[in-house]
Amino acid sequence: MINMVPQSDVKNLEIISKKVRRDVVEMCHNANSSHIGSALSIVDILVALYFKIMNISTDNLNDRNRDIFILSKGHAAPALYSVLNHKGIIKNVDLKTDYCSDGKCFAQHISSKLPGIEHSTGSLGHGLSVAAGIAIANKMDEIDSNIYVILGDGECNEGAVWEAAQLISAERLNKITVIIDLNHHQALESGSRILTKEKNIGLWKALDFELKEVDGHSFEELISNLESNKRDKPKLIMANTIKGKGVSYMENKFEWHYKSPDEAQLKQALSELK
Amino acid sequence: MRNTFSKKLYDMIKKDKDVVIVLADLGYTVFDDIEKEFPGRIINVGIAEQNMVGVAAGLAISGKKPLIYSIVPFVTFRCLEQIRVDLCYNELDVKIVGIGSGFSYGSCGPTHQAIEDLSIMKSLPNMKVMCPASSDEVALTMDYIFRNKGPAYISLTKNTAYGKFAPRKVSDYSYQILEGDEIAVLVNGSILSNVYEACIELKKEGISVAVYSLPFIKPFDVGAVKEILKKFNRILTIEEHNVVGGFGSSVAEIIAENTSEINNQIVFKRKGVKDTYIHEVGSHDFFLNINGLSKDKIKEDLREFAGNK
Repeated sequence: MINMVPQSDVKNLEIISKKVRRDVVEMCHNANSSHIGSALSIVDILVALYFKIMNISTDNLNDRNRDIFILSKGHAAPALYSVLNHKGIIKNVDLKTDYCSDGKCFAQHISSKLPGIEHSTGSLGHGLSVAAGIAIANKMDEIDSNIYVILGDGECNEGAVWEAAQLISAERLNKITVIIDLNHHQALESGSRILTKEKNIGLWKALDFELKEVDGHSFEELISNLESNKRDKPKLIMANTIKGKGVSYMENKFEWHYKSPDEAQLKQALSELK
Repeated sequence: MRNTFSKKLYDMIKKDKDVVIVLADLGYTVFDDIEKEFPGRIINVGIAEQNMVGVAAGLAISGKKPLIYSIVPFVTFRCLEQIRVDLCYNELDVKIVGIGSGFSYGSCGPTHQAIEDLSIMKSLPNMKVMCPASSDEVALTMDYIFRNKGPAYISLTKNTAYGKFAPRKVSDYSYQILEGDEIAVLVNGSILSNVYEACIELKKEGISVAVYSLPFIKPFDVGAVKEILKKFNRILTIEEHNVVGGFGSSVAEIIAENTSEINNQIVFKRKGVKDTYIHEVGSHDFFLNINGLSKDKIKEDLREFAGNK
């Protein structure tokens, strides 16, 4: 069941998403950096979270009642930097030149030295445990805010993800929403051979998470499922995404985990993202 | 030693409402008093050490002061990357206490023994590392880690540490245990008991050994070590830890880098655990014996060291 999301909201979010995708493409081109496909696949989820769902702004970054976002797949960094920049939380920077530049804090994996980034990640499988710790602290202090975590589908190979998932389930840390960026590509192969979508869903189901499957590029579906609901279970959102989403020649192309666009490719990407 | 730890932690829990304990299903009876009086302050995450560290990191982000506890290999090696990334890189205020330093889990075998924890942990930026020899030193190091923000690690022996020393403080961090003038022995950890007894007996033979105990591996008490190096020609370090990268290595670095400042006639030796895993089973003493760390072997080595002028 999908609640109605006003079309004006959707239009607005789509405009922001395009801006973010343009940033990502330019950042990766300038820095000649990897992981462009991984960043593009989560853009719409981030935009929905930061511009529609989460209680977060420049005014409440240190307030315990703020909503918390943890990017566990830290290599999608450019997308988060750009979203935080458009949100006004990361200020006075030129991401296109600062990303991966000597002496700046904009590495290919996120750093908590930057405003709005709750925890540095980069090695996979760390984020969910940290989210569990924050949820436990909030419970102790009767704080009712929401905690969102994005994991990659490949990241779910990591054993530590399941250590955390068991605890979140056992302790009924219901304020946690786990979003899996299901783009079906990982570093050495495509197609989710080690952990298929069906097995992945089965594991979360076995741990008694409230399960939702959405189109990870549809703001209507993202928003209606991300919105906080009264529930007695932690939530798992399986977001079907496209690696490289938004740039035709990158979409679902395995090699765009590694490559960065050259001048001509950048030009084409930017024209597609107008 | 474990009692002093439990007592100190109880005091901290009582004094500071933000102190919490995160366990990975180990610590039977250790936290009974705390559990009884402050039931909400202990979180058991199950047999999941990586998760224990990550959860502690999340608690610290939220302003809590978590302490994690397990047998040394499980609270260090098993979750080393979480310690490195989530605690040290993210600069979070999480305290780590390992029980069973050296061979104190002797008959459990090498999976449970810990001869590499200090060298591994001291190489992590932002990490503070301590291995106390006595109840006094447990109290000193516990006070220190809660007084100073940031990640810290204490390695505790499982067995009762000898407590009949009459230590004299040589700095805020280190003690002199015995007076002497021929040799200075610098000790880290609970092997101090064997060193102390050996040196008391040697005194009766006319061999005068000064014994110092240095529980801090990082920050290392460079000032105290330099003072000792100025007074003695013969220096021996003793530790219940792999000689590779351990306490003795830290002393060696100070000697090597300060030749102009200190006595360059120094004869220096390290005693510690051989760089190997031992497949035979045995008690704590069995393993100390094999590694030349029994009281008698320490005596023998010191006699030779004193005679070899």
